[in-house]
Amino acid sequence: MTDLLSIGASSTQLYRVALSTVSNNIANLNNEAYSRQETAVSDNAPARIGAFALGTGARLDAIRRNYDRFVENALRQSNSALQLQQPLIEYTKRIVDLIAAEEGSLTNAVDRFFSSVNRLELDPSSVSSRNELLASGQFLTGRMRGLADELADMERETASLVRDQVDSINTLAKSLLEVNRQLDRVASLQKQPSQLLDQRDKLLRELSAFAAISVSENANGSVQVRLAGAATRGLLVDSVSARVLDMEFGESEGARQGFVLDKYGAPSYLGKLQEGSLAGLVTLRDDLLEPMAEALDFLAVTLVSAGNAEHRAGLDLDNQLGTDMFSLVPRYSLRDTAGDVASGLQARSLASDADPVSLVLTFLGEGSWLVTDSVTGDQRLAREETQRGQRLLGLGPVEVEVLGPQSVGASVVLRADSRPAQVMAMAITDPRLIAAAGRLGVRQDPDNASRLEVALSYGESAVARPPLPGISLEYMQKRNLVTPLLVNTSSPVVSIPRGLESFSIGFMAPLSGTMNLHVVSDTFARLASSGAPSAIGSPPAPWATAVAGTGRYGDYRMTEGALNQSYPGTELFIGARATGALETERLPAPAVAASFSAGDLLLNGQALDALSLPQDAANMPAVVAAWLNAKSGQTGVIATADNVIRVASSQLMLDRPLVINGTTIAAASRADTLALNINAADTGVRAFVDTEGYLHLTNKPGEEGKQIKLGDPPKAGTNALGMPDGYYNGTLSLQAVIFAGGVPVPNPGGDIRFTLGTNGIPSDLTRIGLATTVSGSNGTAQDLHVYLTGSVDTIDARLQAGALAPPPPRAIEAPLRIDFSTDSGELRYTLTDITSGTVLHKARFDFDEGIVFGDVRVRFGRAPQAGDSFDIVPNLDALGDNSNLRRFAALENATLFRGQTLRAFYVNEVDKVGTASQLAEMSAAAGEIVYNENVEKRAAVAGVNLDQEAADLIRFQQAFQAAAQVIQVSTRLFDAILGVR
Amino acid sequence: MKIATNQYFLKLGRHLADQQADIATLQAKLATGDTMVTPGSEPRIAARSLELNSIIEKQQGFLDNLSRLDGRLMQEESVVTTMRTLVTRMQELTIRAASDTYADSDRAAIAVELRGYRDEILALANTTDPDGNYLFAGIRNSTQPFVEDANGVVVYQGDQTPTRIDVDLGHSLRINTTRDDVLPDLVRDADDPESRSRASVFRVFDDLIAAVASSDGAGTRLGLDELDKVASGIDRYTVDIGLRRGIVETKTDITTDRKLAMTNLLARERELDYATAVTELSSHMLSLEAAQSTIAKISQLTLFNYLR
Repeated sequence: MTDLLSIGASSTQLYRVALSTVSNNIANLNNEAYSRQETAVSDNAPARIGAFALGTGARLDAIRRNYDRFVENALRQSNSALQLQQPLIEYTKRIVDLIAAEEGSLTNAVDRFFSSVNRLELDPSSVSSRNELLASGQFLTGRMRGLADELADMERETASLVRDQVDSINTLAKSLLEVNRQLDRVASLQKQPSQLLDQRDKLLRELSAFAAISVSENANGSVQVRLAGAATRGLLVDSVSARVLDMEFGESEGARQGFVLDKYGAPSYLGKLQEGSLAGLVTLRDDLLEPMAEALDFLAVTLVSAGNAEHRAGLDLDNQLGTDMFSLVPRYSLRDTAGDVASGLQARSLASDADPVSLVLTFLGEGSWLVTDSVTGDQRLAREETQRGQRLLGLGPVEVEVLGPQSVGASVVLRADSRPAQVMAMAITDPRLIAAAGRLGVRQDPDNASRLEVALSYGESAVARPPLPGISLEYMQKRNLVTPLLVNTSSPVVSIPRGLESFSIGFMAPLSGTMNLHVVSDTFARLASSGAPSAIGSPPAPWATAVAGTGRYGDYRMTEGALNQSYPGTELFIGARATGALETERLPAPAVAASFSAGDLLLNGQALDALSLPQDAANMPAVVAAWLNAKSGQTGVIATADNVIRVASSQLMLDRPLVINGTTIAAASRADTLALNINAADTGVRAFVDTEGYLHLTNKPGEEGKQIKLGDPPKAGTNALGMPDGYYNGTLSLQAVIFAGGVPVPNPGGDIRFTLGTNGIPSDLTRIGLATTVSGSNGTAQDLHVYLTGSVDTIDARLQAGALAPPPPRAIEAPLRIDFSTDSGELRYTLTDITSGTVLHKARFDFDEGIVFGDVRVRFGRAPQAGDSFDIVPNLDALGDNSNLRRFAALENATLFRGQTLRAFYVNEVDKVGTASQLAEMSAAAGEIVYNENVEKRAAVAGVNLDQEAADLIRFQQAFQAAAQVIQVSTRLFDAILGVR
Repeated sequence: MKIATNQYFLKLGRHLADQQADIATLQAKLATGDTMVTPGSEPRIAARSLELNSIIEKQQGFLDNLSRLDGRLMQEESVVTTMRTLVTRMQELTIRAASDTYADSDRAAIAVELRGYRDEILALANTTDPDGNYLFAGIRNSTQPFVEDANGVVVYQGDQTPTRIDVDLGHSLRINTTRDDVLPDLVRDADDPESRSRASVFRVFDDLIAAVASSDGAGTRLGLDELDKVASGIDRYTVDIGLRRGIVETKTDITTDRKLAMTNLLARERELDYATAVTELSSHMLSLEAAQSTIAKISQLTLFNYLR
């Protein structure tokens, strides 16, 4: 209406609202979440009066909320970036305070410990110095445990913080869902209540502190919030639902923990979160806390194992071998299926060096338990034993005491819940047990040319070299390996690890060309060979001149029994051997005429006569068999010529032709029919099918060993037997016998042993179908190496390996004497066991290598002279000897810790955390500037300025007064109208 | 750009808090004289301190060992010097006994005196150090090294193994002494492989005493020669001790210098530069004062004051 009154009235209303808006702003001055509201006024629709449009006053258009979406977004993002650093700053400071404290640091404790070791060096038998060492050891292990426990506390603290923050996110999401729902009741943003929108923005800001979110606003103000993860962005909240955020804990090594939305519904895997305090906590845990704890564990484990190894090499005050100085006994926990501590049970760890076990125990009633290994799944039964009134369940390295009643069928999980660094402790409490003295001492013969410095080092552990490069001993033990080997003079073709209880390596020597094999030890003591080696390349070892008259090498050559004395537990055999019976390969057809001289080959020690081998292969086996049998009375071996072709029925290709010895055999559809056809034909071959379905072809009686020709060689083809056409030579079947009354009786335990005589060569064995084998056992303290020499390039070898002997129990070595002598211009040493006088080992002396026996290495300051003699004796009653202590002290500066010393490694870790701390502080400082700027920008848009409000107050007050005046004027006008009579 | 009122106050408050925090840190540094108030506040300095402290500790340990070693060498020196004096006396007596002017009865008396010196030298050879360990027994230093058996023959029950202690990284010094160092056996008839034999020092003494007692001129002269050799052996060892003490002294000097250098390095890292710190403190305090007074003034400026 255009009249004065209504315009005035509506204006006063309008300005009253404006004033109350202003006062609302003032009231909410200190409300952080508040966005300033202002009244938007617009004029009413004009009224048309004739030709004119008259205004009809003003109305309240809207209470506008001062809000800039982009500024809000920027604020949230900078908040997430800033909060990311906060946990890092707080906890890295705490970690550095912990690990770098002057008195509490690990380096301080290590220094004290090794100082006490150095002091004990001065007077190793002093009990007070020993006690000081034990005390400083307790301090060191105590510090290690303390640091590890504190880190574990931090880990628990941060884990629960993570859970809390995840819960907070979920709570905020739920609240946001409520707000969204309420917002959804109204379709247009303009009509939404400002307070609701303020609340929405407040929730979003709080969310952004925990994690970076991306917000998309709908037309009516409701929002969709997504969490930005490493993998994808997952929807957290929209108007319909709030998805629950969860942690995924990776159980195995590779699976890292990550976040997942809606884990039990339709999960989206976020991986790591991008920013916000939750991401900061996760980064702290994964990149700083866990590596720091692992570093401590690595320090503890390495120090314990190295320290114990050194300590065990020495002797204590009572002449006993040192035991472990440190222990790492895991702490076990028993929890029920819900994860709570199981009641009525207590676990005790028994062994300090066993791997921790992880078991599930199920009570079956009446003292019986079902024990399931959590790792392998193996199950077994265990029974309680009652000792000293305690019910005990022995489970290997752990013992469980049953204190209270157990419910049948209930399961408990037994696990080691300690990290190594949390359980490092001293294993010695008695000062007499500190092994300061070296285990062995050196007594120099006063008649030696000069007094030398002799150094003993321990721990030459047998690291088994693989027998073949790239092929492990386990592989060789599981199967017979056939592989071609390269003949060369510079490196061994096969290595036989020390302690191997049995092995055999067979070579089929070539008929044309030469091949010889040689067995040497690590120190190039020549143990055995099949012939004269040609020059062996590097490492060069001048071989001894041939033993006079034999043309053969080997000072320490294995002859029956001779080497056994020098190398107990070692047996080397070169030749071909079996027990009871031996089948040869098919005898090869000689390309040129060949013959044996008398004595080239020996069978069971008996020299065999001369033999001219027939040029044709057809009759070779029979000839050789007769030759061998000539001596069967002395050798105890009977040879039978034979020729067997054995084919599985499934291999038969019955649609193909079959020609045997030139005669075509009628085709057949089945194996047994084929056999009948073969027998019917006159081929000198008879056939039969055995019970397993194999088709056998052998010579007719009287023609044993004769060659069988299949098909029409040299034309190639495949026959009905599924075998290639060709010549199949006969074999020899050898059997050990004893003669009872002139009648040979099979002797299943009898030896069949072919060895090479003076002029025999390995190919001689090949001619009679045997591979030249080197076999035996390696009980020496060294690896043995097989060299192949010869004129051929490669040779096929068949390899077999037996078990590796377990290491012998720890004992102080028996006294040994080392004597030096020269032979052929080179310095040799002889190791003799003093007690028995047995010569243990003779070899060439290598100054750099020293002398190794057992796990001891002896090195000399200067080369000894021939005639020098040294005794290595147990260091009994050597109360003033500090040599083992000095070796132990050397650990302080040993680069055992990933290439660094203990101190350097630890300081490096401190540096890592320190750097992370400084980085986080710098990022936080920068982030804070950006954040504060954004806060101010937002405040500039949505904040309340008192001066501005005061001005508005005056403005609207005046407007109100003016509007009130308008009403008054209209009243007067009306009065004037009413006053008209 | 508009500044929201509460934002304005918050900002000012933040500045005040920052200044006060800085002042508090400086105060703590000034009070302790240390740039590193907590390891967490200066991680780099903390790491360096760990390293340097470690090295300094180590040097002190070496110095302790060196001083113990020197003490031991001093004791050995005095024992060996006494032994030498006694041997000299024995030489003088033997010369007299060898001269023809003495009668058999005189020689008998000389023999008794010689015996006395021999017994004294035996006692010296069994000297123990302050911890009760025998000086000349090698590593078997809890058992008496020189023991007289039922026949009065002195037998060496000690050991010949040298012992070393670490006085630096990779540097060790010999600490113990064996019989071969101070009283080595003599070789008799070295040139004749048939009758070549070894004789201990005490065997030499006993043979000499017997020769003097029985007026065996040849034996006495042989004994004199052998006494010379024993004396040279002791002299040689005395020189050795002197050399070793020299090495110990040099090493002690080097290690002390090194310890000092490391201590100075550590001080440079950690010691607070008071001049700079006090200046910084003054400037921070000035800023704080300025901030406080401006807040007080500016906060009173509001339009509402004029709306009366």
